[in-house]
Amino acid sequence: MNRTALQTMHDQLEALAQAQDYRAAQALLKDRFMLLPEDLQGRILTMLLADALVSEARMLDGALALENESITALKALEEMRIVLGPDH
Amino acid sequence: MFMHGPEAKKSTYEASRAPQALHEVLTNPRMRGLFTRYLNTLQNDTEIVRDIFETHKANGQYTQEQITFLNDHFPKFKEHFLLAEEVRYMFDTKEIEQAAKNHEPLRELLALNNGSPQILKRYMEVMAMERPEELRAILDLKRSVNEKRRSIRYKAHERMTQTILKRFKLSNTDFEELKNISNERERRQRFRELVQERVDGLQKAVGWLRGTHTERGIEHAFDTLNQFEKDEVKREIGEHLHAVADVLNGFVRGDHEFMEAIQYARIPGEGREDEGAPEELSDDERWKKNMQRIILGARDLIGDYIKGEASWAWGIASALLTEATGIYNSPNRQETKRNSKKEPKEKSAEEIGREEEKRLEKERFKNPQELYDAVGRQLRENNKKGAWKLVDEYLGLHITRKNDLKRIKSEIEGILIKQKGSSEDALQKLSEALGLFQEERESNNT
Repeated sequence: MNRTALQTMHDQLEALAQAQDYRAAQALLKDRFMLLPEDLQGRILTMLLADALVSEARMLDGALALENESITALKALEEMRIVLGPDH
Repeated sequence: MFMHGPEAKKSTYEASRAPQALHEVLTNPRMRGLFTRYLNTLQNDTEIVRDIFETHKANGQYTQEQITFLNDHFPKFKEHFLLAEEVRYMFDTKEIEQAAKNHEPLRELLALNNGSPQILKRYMEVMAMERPEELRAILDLKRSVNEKRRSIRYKAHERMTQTILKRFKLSNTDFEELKNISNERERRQRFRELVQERVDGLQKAVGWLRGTHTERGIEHAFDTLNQFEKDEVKREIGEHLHAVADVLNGFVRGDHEFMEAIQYARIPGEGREDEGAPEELSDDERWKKNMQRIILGARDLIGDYIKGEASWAWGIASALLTEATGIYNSPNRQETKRNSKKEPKEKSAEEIGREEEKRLEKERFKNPQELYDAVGRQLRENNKKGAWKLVDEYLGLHITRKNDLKRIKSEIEGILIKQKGSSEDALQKLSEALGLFQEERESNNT
């Protein structure tokens, strides 16, 4: 892909992002991806990998926090059951 | 100025070693490609780098002046190369696939290349030469994710399990049943079922009522205990039980949807500043936010690329890297190796490459925890021989007359090769060995 074609793709992505048409932008990126210079493909993939790692880190933070919360909640329930008596 | 003592000795050693090391780099296509990328970052020396590679292209030789230049830059390049090796180790194909599993855009673009992450892997090596700081940040992120994964799988999960055991009071019969299941996977499965039965029981007892289980909610429930009639309290308990059961169900199932859902769950004090409170976004809005970030990121990368469009050496280096990666990944690599034995000149380059690989293998596990993780990974894949190979190589380097590593190493061999124990036993022994090694190193330091 030559410089002009790259510039065109850049401008198209810009326009689609402005219009918030991300599905079309995603499709454009996918269609032209293999035509991009290999270095640029690598850079985009690396950006996505970093993005995936950030998402996973957030997900794991959430899971850890929920684990801690659920333990606290379980303890609280036990206390409440004691207060309420043997029927509960 | 003359140097004396150890300093002088060191200088002589390095001076005599450097040409050989440089030779190794220049005869190995992958390393030569990376060295070219590295040299190309030295803006002030662009002319001499261009001359070097044009000369080499023309007759395969270097002048003495060029060799001196290459030698001067070799030590710094070596640091970058070690970073590239670390990346290769940290992001093997499986790790990249794992990251892509929950990330649709990455998965889609990798799929265009038949799911192969070679371009990504190759570019990360290039980053080691050209953008080491960015790459180190990604490696730090990866280490942090690994640490969190470990916490979830082992520490927090263990704590959760203990709490469940205590709170849900599994009976002695249950324990006996669990103890009699020798297969680890089946035992875990049965344990999950037992917990599930109790969760179901709790749900039936209080009914399904919607609610949250934040800290504030729990405090509120305690206040309620003192203020309202019992029926009212029952409702509060029902709400909390529902939420807890939800969480427990997710953990018991360990399912993908649950893990994805909690990514955006409401965590007190959490939330990305640039996105506002995550729980306020619908699925569609969240998808749009993510895609916006990605599309704008791709647009900027294309823009940057246009501005600093491929410099002269880029093509040469890329060709070398592509060729080298082809060699490294070829299913016929063994064939190539066998053929190379027939040609002395090729064999020499291959040997140098293997020596370099061996040396880097030794440097790979600077941190014992990394070895432990790598062995654990092999065992999870049920590759006991692979796990043993790592243990053998690493401990073999650290056995001295003083320590007990030899004994432990042969015990691990017994477990992994002669099947005298489980994977857990092997990891426990390895942990013991690494502890000994660490103690000895600390006592040597003091």
